Amino acid sequence: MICPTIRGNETGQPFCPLMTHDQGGCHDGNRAGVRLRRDFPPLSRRRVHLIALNLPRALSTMAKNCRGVVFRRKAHTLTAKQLSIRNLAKRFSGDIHALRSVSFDVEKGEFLVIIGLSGSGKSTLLRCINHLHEPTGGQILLHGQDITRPRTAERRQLRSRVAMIFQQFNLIGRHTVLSNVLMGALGRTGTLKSILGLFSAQERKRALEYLDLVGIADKANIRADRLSGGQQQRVAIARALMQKPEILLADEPVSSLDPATCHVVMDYLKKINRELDITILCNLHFLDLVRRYARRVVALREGILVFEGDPKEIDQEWFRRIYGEETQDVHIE
Amino acid sequence: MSSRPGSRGRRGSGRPNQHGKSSFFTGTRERIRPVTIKQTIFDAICFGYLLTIALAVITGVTEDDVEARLLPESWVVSSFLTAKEEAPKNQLPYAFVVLALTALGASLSIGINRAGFQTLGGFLFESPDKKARLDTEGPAKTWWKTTWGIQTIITFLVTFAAAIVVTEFSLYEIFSSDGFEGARRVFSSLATPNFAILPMAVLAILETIFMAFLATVLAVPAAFILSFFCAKNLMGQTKIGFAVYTFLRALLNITRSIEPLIWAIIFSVWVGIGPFAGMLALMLHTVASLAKLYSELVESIDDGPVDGILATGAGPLQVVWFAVVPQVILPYISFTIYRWDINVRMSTIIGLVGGGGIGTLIMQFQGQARWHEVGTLALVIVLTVWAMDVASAYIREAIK
Repeated sequence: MICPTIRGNETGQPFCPLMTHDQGGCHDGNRAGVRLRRDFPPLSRRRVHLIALNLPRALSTMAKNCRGVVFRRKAHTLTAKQLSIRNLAKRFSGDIHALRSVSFDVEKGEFLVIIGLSGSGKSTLLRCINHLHEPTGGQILLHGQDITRPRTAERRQLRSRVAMIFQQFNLIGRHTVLSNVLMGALGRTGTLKSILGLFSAQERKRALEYLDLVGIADKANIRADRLSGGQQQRVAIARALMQKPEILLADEPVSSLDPATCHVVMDYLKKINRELDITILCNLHFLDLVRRYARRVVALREGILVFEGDPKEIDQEWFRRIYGEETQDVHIE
Repeated sequence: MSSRPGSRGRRGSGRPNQHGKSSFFTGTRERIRPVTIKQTIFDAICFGYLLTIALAVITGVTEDDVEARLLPESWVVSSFLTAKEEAPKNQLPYAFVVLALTALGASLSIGINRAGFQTLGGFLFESPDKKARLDTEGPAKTWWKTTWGIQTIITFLVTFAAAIVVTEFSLYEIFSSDGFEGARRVFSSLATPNFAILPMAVLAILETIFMAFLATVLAVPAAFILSFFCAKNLMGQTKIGFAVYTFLRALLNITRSIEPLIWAIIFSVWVGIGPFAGMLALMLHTVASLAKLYSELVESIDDGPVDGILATGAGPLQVVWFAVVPQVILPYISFTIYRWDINVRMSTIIGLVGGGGIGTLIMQFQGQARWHEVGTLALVIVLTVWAMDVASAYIREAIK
C-alpha cells in the first residue's frame, strides 16, 4: 500500500520515506512501490489513498501516469533480528486508529528510542509488543517466531520474557519494596505459592541483588508508596529485571520525574542495557535525552512510522515533520 | 489516475505538511447526529410518559377509569378486579393509547435529533469517543439552554407534580386536631418508658446483634468472591466472562431488590419463625448488597498496578491477588463494618415479621397497645444503634 504520509518527491526520496527499509518494502507491507521522478508534482493524500485501495493495478497505472519506475523488493528473509515489527496496526473500538502501520526491526542489545507527539501511538506500540493490547493487524516476530496471536499460556510466557516499566511506575503501594520486586517472579511461580508468599530463598536473594543494582537495597523493607518517584521507578526496573527479560519496554519512564532524577533513571536503564545486554525499547519526550541515550530512533506520527535512524540525523526539518509545524525543540538542562 | 486531484483532495496537496491540524482520516467526516436504538427507546419512554400525563390531565381520567379500561376486555381473565359492568365497550384500551403515545415519542425523538438538536436520550447514550468529538464543536451552551436540558427540567417538574397528586399530599391532614391528639398520646407514652421489662429488652437486643453479626460474617466471604466475578473491568474482556458477569449481576439485582422483610417472611415459612429465619434473610440481602458495593470498588481501581502485574506474566488469580486486592481491601473492611451497622438496624425490622430479636417483642407489645413498654424497647434500640454507629465510624476512620 502506498502510505498517506507521502509528500511527493520533495526530497527526491523514494515514494515513502520508509522504503529505505532493508526488508519491508513500503512500511505498509507491500514489497512494491513506485519511485517517483524528481519533477513530479506532489500527489494529493486522498488520491494516494484511493490508489492504495487497489494496489496491483494502481502500480502499473502509476508508473505510466506518474512517469515513475515500478520496483519490487525481494521478499524478506528471516534474519537474526531479535524483534521484528511488521505492519503492526491497532484499532480501538470507536474507529480510533492508534497504530496504522508500523514496521521496524530491533537488534539484540539495542537501545531503541521511540519518539512522537502524545497520541501518536508510542504507548500502544509498546503495549502491543507484550500484549497488554492485542494488535489488530500486522505481525510481531520474536527471533523470527510469530508471536502476534499467542494462546493464553504463551502470552504469559511471552510477557515474562518482555518486561515493561511504566510512566506511573505501577508498583503495589501497600506492599514492601522487596515484595514488589519479587512480583517480577510471578510468571514462573505457581499461583498458590505466590499468593501465600512462598518465594524461594534464591528468588529473595536475586531480588535483593537487583535492588542493589539499582541502588536502593537499603529500602527493601519499606512500603513502596513511601518512596520518591525516582526511587519507585528504580524499584520498577528491579521488578522488571526479576523477570529475567531479554527485552525491556519502557513506556515514558521519566515523564513524571524531575529533570535531575530523569538522568538517574535513564543512566540505570543504560547500565542494564550495557551490563546485562538487555534490549531496551523506550518512549521518550525530550529530544536531548534521546540524543544522549538512544543508539537508534524511530519516530511515530498518527500511528505511522515517519523516521528511523540515528538520533543525530534529526535536524530542524525532521523535527518539524515529526512534531508538526508549530513546535520548537525544547531544551532542558 | 493521477492527472488532477479532486477538489476535496486539493486541501491535502496544497499544504502537504499540515496534517497535524485536520487529519486526513478524521477531518473530512461529516458531523451528523447519529440516531441509535438506545437513545430512541429512552426518548420514546420519556416523551410517551410526558404525552400520557398531558393527555390524562386534558381529558380528566380518574384512577377507576384507568383500572376499567387499561387492557382490552378479552385479555382480562379474572374478573374481580376489572369487571365493572359499566365499563364501556368498543373503546380503545388505555394501554394502546400509551403505546401509541410512546411510538409518537420515538418518532419525535428521531425528528428532533435529525433536526440537529440533542435530546436527553442522545446525550445519555452517546458513545464516549463521539462525546469527545462533539465537545469540540461550536461554543458550549449552558446546560439548561440545551434541548436535553429543557427536556430534563420538564420531565422533572411533571414528575414532581404527578407525585404530589398520586401521594395525596395534604398539609391539612398533618395539622388536623384529631390525628394530632392521637399522635401526642402515643408519643407521651413512649417518652415515659416502663423499665420493668428492661432485662427482657436487653436479652432481645443481644439476640438481634448476634443475628446481625452472624449474617454479616457469613455473607462476607461469599460477597468477596462474587465481587470479582461481578466487576466489569475484570470480566468484560472475554465473552464467557461477560456472560457470567451479566448473569451474576442480574441474579444479585433480583435478590437485592426483594426487601429483607420479604425474605424473612419466606424463610420463616421455610425454617420456622425465629431468629434463624431473620438471620438467613439478612444474610441473603447482605451478600447481594456487599457484592454490588465490592464489585463497584473493583471497577473503580487504578489500572496501572494491574498492567504492572500483568506485564510480569502473572496469571489471572495472581493479578487479582497482587494488583486488585491491595487496592480494595481497606474500603472492603470499611463497607463491611458499615454493613454490620445497617444489619443491626435492619434486624429490628426483620423481627417485626417473626424474625426473632427485639423486633418480635415490639410487635407483641405494640399489638396490645402497651406504649410504655414499646418506649423502653425503642430506647434500647436507639442506644444500641447509636453506639454501633459511633463505633463503626471510629473503626472506619482508624483503618483509613
